[in-house]
Amino acid sequence: MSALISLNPMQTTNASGLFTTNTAGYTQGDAQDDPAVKFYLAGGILSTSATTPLWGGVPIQEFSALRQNGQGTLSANLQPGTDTLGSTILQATGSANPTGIAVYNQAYGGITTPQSTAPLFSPGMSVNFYRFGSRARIPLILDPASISIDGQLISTTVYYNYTNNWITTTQPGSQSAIPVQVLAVSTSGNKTVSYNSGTNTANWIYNQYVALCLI
Amino acid sequence: MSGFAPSYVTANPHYMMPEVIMQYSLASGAFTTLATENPMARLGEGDLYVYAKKVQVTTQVQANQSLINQLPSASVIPSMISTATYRVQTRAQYDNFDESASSAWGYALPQAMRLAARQGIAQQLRNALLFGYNPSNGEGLLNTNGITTSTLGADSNGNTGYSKYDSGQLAQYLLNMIGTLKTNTLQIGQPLRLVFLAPQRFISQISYSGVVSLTQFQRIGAGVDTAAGLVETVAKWAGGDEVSFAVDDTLIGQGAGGTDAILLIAPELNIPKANSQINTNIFATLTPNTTATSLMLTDVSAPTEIPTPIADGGITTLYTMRSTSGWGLRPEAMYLLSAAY
Repeated sequence: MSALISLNPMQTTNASGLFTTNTAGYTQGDAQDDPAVKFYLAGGILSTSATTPLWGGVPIQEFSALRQNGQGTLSANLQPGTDTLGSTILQATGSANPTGIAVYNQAYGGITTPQSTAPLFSPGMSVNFYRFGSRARIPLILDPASISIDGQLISTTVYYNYTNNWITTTQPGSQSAIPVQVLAVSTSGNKTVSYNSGTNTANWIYNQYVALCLI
Repeated sequence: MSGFAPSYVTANPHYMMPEVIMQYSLASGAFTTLATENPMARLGEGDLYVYAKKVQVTTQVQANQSLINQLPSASVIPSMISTATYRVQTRAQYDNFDESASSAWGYALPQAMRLAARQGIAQQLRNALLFGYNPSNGEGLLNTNGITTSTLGADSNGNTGYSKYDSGQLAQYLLNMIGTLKTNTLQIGQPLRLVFLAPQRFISQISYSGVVSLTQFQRIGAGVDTAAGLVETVAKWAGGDEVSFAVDDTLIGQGAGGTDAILLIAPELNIPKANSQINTNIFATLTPNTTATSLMLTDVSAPTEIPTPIADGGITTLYTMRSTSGWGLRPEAMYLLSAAY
């Protein structure tokens, strides 16, 4: 497992899955357009301690912007102006509570290849995110066993399962709730990100449930 | 090379026929499975990979009797696919002594070597089209990931091999394949060009041997049409489709479990449109787009020839072209039938 982008150019790929009856659905990590929320879109830099690339629609931790050390003989020096890339971002974990959600909006630096069609961000790349409280509406993968959340009070407590990377109503261990409200559920026509740690690629898949989360 | 023109001994008096009797090779119809029926000569001579872009969409709208401002939005998602290219090469080399030896046999060595080289490259292009240069990487139409496959089951008489199959039932099976392909590609109601690529013995079976037999009940084509004719006729009046049959005997034994492979493909699709005002498929009209479902790209339409003089009056000629494998862009537009002979 590496946080660097992998490449396998000899693999022939094709455009399967482009025939659908309906296109109604959500795309993971692409927040719904909203002029009132647009200006809360924040940017940071993916931490060099990340162990995998980052993609959109996953909870992240934000650490305030820090000046960086130089290289070589200057490695002890905090160099001026090196905190302008914004906060340092790491993917949240079950034991590291999230502060926001990474999104694909305006994040044009994400890298795709024919073998990895969902954009990925490696350490040092700028990543975009919305903080909790920004009132952004972000599609996140929903645990299929939690489909009963459809039609429930939007303030129903939900958790984030960091093993399966989805929103769930089942509390993983003693993990605290994730501060989002599920506004809608879509069970078909969605595009979600499937990350493969073996090949270090992320591809769009079309068979998962999505919860539209107000954060 | 070898011009391989040995001496020969005849008894006199004699008359020597000037015409030679040539070895024939199967003229493959495999390239009709490509959009526009030919490789696309677009590559630069050094292009190592070919990329194509696809664009997908998810849409959301909200309705309200009055007016609200927190609205959903659509996502447009571009991504890429790719395939590798390979340079195919062969060489011919001879000198004036080789030429004079060949002339004793009555043919021109330079032209014989040129045609031999071009035939070798043409057959490799056919192989690459169907099976790829490196099948494990998903190259070649038969190795396309996600292609629809089926195996011919038994007919009502219990025959599984197509050489003994009931012609009417075989025709219906082929027509069902067309229906499945057109349903999967949302093309019901859209006239298509459809190609069945199969071994000669399959085509022979559904044409010369394939008269639909009479039964106690009425069935289409009974006594007057063949299975192939029935497929063409029914597809024509049912959907306006143009069905053609092409042969390539390299498909013998290439189906599942060593059966014969029969490939049905719609090389080009239509952008489905049913209503001119409210078009539920309007996103697909974004341009520039391609309707091709299978491609093979080359750098030149015929092999480049690079002749070079070599020592002692000889000449060496390089014949070369660069090509991709057969690239099944849209696996839904292909159907691979495995059928025992």
